[in-house]
Amino acid sequence: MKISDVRFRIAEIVIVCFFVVFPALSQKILIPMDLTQTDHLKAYGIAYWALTKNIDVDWLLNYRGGSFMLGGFDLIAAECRIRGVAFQEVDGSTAAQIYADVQAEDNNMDVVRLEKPPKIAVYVPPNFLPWDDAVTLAMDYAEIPYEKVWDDEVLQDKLLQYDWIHLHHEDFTGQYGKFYANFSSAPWYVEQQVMYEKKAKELGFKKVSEMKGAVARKIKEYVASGGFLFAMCSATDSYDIALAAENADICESMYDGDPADPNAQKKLDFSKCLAFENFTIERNPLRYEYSDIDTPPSDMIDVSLEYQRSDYFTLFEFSAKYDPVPTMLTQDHANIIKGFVGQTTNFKKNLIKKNVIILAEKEGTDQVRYLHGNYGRGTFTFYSGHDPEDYQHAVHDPPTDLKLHKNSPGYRLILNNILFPAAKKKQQKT
Amino acid sequence: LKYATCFFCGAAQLSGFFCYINIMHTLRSRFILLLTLSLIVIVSGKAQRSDNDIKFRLAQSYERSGDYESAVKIYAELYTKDSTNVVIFDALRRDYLQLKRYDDVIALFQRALARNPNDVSVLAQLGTFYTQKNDDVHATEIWERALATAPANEQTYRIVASTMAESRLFDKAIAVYQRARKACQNPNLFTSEMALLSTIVLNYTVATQEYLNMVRQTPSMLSSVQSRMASYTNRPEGLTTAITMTEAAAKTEPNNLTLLQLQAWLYMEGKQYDRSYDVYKIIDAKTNAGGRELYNFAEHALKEKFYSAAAKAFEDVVGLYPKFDMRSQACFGLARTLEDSVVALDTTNLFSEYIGNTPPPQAITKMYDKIVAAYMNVIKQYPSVLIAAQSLLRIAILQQERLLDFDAAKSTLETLNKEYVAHPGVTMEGTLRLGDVLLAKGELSKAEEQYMLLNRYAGGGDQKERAAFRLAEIDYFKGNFKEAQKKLRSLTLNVITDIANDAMKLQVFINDNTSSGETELKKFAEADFLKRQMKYQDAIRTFESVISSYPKSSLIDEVLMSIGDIRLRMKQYDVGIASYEKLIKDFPESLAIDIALVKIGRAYDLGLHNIPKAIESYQRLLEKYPNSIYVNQVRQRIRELRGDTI
Repeated sequence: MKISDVRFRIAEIVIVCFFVVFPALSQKILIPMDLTQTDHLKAYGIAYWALTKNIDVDWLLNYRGGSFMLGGFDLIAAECRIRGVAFQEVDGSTAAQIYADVQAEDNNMDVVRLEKPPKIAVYVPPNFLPWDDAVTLAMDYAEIPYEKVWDDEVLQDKLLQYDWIHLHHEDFTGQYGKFYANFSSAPWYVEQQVMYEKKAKELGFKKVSEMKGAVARKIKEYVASGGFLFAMCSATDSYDIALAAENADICESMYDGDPADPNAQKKLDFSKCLAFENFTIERNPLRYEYSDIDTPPSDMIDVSLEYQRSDYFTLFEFSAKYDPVPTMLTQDHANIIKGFVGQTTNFKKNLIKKNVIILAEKEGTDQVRYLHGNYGRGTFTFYSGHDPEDYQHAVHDPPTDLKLHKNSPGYRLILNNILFPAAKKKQQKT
Repeated sequence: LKYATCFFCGAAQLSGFFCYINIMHTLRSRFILLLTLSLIVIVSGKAQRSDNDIKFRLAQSYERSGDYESAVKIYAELYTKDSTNVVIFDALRRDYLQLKRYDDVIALFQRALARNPNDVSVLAQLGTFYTQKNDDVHATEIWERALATAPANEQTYRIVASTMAESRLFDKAIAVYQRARKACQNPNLFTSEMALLSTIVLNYTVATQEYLNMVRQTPSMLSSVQSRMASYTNRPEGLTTAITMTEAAAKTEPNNLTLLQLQAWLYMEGKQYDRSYDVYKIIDAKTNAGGRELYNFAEHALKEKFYSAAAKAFEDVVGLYPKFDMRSQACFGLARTLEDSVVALDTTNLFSEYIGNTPPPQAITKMYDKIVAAYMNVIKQYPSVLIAAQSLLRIAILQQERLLDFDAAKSTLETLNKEYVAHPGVTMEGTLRLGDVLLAKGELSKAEEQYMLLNRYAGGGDQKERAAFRLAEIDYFKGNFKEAQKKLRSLTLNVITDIANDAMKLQVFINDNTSSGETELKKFAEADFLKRQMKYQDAIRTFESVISSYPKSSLIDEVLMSIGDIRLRMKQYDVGIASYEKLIKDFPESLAIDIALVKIGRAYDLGLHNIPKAIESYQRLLEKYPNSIYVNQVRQRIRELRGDTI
């Protein structure tokens, strides 16, 4: 046999091997996130889990509801089956076709490579409080690990160890959630106030409001240095109010032992806020409301079944290729989502800073549901309402069982936020 | 005559004479003068007051609108004019505090003190203003002064401490109450206040001490104290503190019943039922309760599933108090406790969900024998009454369901139905179960008779439906498929009944397998009946004859499944697994493959304890049958076996 023939035969064998072996090697798992998905929430957990196993995860923005494409075929397939997540086996050529479709210029889609599992912190009080937090419920259900931090850790700059922080249903103004009128004698309330007071004293603050203000400012520093902040319900507006009220006492005597500064409103410095401006704080200590940011006010919410049936908000659509971050945050299999109330139900549009991106709102109203912005090298995202699958989650209500809400579009928005810090930053198209 | 001018009216008159007219003049003029003067005073006073009122209202209006600065100016002016007006004083205090003008409010109170230097209330408040001003030295000084005004009077301490507590100075308030006890030489002063404040500051030691004092002073407050202590006994450190301190107190005062009751309650709060029972024994003896305290404890412990403590208590009631009026219930309670505790331990029926019950091992059988003996003891001591009928039924159920001893169950149920006709609520269940036992023994006609007997009873919808289903099953076992179908149809009409699902399942099975001829179905029903009678070898032989005689029958997959089930019941796991695997291999279209995979997984998991093989089998189900109704439980089990924390 001639040498040239041998070469030819080798080339032939290589080509054959390529076509036989390559598709098997490049076989991928597509986790669709459209209506065919059996468990949207656990799908995020699979993506996170894959990242922990150093398996590549591509987030296909706007492709079938924001699907995930993963390598590590056998491992991922088995885990998807165990966790009940629907997936499709995709051979190399089909995967390549999907990537090509997603990246085509005329499609509002894009691929975002997720690189490493974000380290997650949740700001949670150490004491028992008789309500639940949608974010921890979502992470527990999706099996995404997180660590709990509290005031000590925040003030000791331990946040820098984390990529992402979630603010639990917390009151940063030092008014204990403004539950005074209804719960001032409840054991959990009394205990909470005493514990917070002790903690403030221990950390060298005269008042809880001062300690909480310092915590809010530390979190802001964390965001400025590149951290990702996600807050829900009253942690959103109370956070910004605490920042604005750095030089004003807005707490009445039942909260901090002395009356509020009558000129507190005038002393608010809105330039210190992340998302809101020109708001008016609620001075009545007995009213379950912090400011006029929340609309409708907590005590004027219509919770009738008739209203609930018509309460929906709409997600905005962004350009996947030009605005990947808002696109990631709004990935969902539905763009009209069932509303839900909380201590902070909606943000009043005209009180939102101009540089903040509105991600979702209740159409035809001034009510904003979901917003996002940049501060320094980091970002913040605020999502109003308490529990996307419990229209009105009252104190002492049992936690929502997410097994019954595996495909919750409202909860998906929370989990988008958790994966978004894992995204590889790529140069934005201009 | 000399004329002179009247002094009053100026009229000329004779000197030396009274001017009567002038007297009248005089009086009238004086009256007018007085009236005028009075009017001037009244009008000017009224004008003054009206002016002040207007100013006061204006100040209030400023205050309401939040303009405290303007309000304070007016209040201060008004206060200068009338420093005794308490309304203005209080308004001024309020607004100074609102404006955080602590020096001004302190000065205001100092002026008030100048008038009444021993006003404890004013002194107490003044102290808190100093703390708000961050001047703890002066605050302490002022409070000391307040306490010194009447150091032997408890009211002094009450006013000062409550003012402190209002300002959330809880530790200082506690210290004042403690001083009051020494000063007034009364260690029991302010017990309730001290307990409450100590709970607030999470000082459970002091709180418990105070609550112990409260029940010592007023035993009738026990339930109130328990409810207040419950606010911290749900915390481990709170419960431990409360228990430790109450134990010590009860030890030093062994005759204090209230302390003992508190101690027993705290043990129960901590789920320490055995220790709680020891205390209840003492309480029962000290109160001459004749077993009632023990009985109440036993019922509570049984309800909470603390079987050993419940059993001990029931045993003691029965053994120690022969005249206790609820002794029969105690005997029955003892037997129930034994039964519940053994059933909780009996893990021999892990497969029952899939393959039915299997006979328990000897060790467990012995435990059931003890329970039977306990129920027999009830019957012996209290024959012919309801509790005896209930005991007999419980024995029969154990013999039928747990011991799988059908002869014994039959005998027991026959006795029940014969001797306890006065208790139809119990004998209805007895009649149904007797039918079931006879069916399991293969006595079809006698079983039918029992099921028919249920029609004699009024009510008993559930039992009657179960009996109707059994009658349909008997027709199926006999090969009377049409008759069985007829009966099953009527049962499936009412879909809300518990039995409707079973009826539908059998109906579908008969329907599916009569189309190709009834002969093989009759053979299958015969084998199924043998299986019901637990004649396992015969059943296997008959099932296998279906395979050999009708190799193309649509029943073969069901046959393989049944053989697998019987093998598992016989603990022949490998053979059982092989039967299921054959079913999966030979009948890939069978609707029973998912459950066959579950059973293989269970056999590896619970029978052979081969975890990797169990997980592998479960994963096969997830892979091949992702829409099976079993996927959720299989997922859960895989995660349990992997040790996932979910």
